[in-house]
Amino acid sequence: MLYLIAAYWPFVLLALLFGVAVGWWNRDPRNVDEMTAWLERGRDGR
Amino acid sequence: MARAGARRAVIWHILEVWLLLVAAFVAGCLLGSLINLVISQSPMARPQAAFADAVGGTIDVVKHRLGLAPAWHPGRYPPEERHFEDRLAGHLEAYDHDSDAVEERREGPSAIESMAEQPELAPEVAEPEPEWVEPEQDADWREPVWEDAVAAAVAAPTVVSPAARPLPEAEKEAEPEPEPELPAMRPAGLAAPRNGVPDDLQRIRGIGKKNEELLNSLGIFHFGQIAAWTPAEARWVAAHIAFPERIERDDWIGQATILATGGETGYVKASDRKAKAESEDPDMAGRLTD
Repeated sequence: MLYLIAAYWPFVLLALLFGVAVGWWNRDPRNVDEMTAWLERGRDGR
Repeated sequence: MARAGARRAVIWHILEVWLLLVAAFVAGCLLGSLINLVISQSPMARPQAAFADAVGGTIDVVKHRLGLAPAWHPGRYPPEERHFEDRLAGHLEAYDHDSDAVEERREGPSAIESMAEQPELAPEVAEPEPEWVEPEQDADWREPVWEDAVAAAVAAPTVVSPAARPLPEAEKEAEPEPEPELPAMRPAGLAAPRNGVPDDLQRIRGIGKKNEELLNSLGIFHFGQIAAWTPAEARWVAAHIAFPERIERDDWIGQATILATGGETGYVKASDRKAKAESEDPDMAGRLTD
């Protein structure tokens, strides 16, 4: 495992940071109604 | 044989790499949640909310530029609100007769009592109004006479249009100064929703589950209450909700006014949208759920 981390550490770091952003956003109360609404925009285009 | 072994080793290696990346992502998610939770319960909560608001604002701007934003945005009313003013007038009249909150606000005691509970507001409330002192009149002062003005106008050699005329220094100095900010004031709240049925405040863009619970705890259950907020009251509420800038940026008062009069803002919650899709087209709803 360590040799993998040593070889691919930039990608591992990137995945970790992306995970931190997602985890942070998931805890944020605004994602409950706003982000979901944005992702699930209806067929009426709103 | 050796080639098959090498191929297997390569596949195994790729799998290991992907597993490592997924593990890093999951660890990051947990870490991000944890950091957010810890900061939100520390004194850094306010800067954190401000930062989140700034990021949210930037995302909103990008969404508007890309045409991905919801139909509602501050200052824009949906086209079906043509008779908006008539309906607003009718609603406000009904609300005026109906609402205990408005009566209490007129009489004042509840608002003042609630402000007295706020130590930072108390001195401003308790401060007596200064007595009016009649200004002394100048000895040379006299009532303006129309004849003087007419004579001056006739004597004037040329008439310069007001647009072309440069602004005199005195007038430049007399330009209106920005109005001083009023102190924040707690809006009058209800002990319980009227008829026991609160409005679904989450229909206002910017109010989620958390903010709705918070508003309910402040005695705000109806769109009409939000629509009747004064700027000072909006500022007071802003200081108590999760994202202080949301009220102004998302124009809660404008949205609440439309919703209180039975209109639609164009903003639909994700859950409502899904329910609507289910009622209209079960297949599409299934795809949305997937």
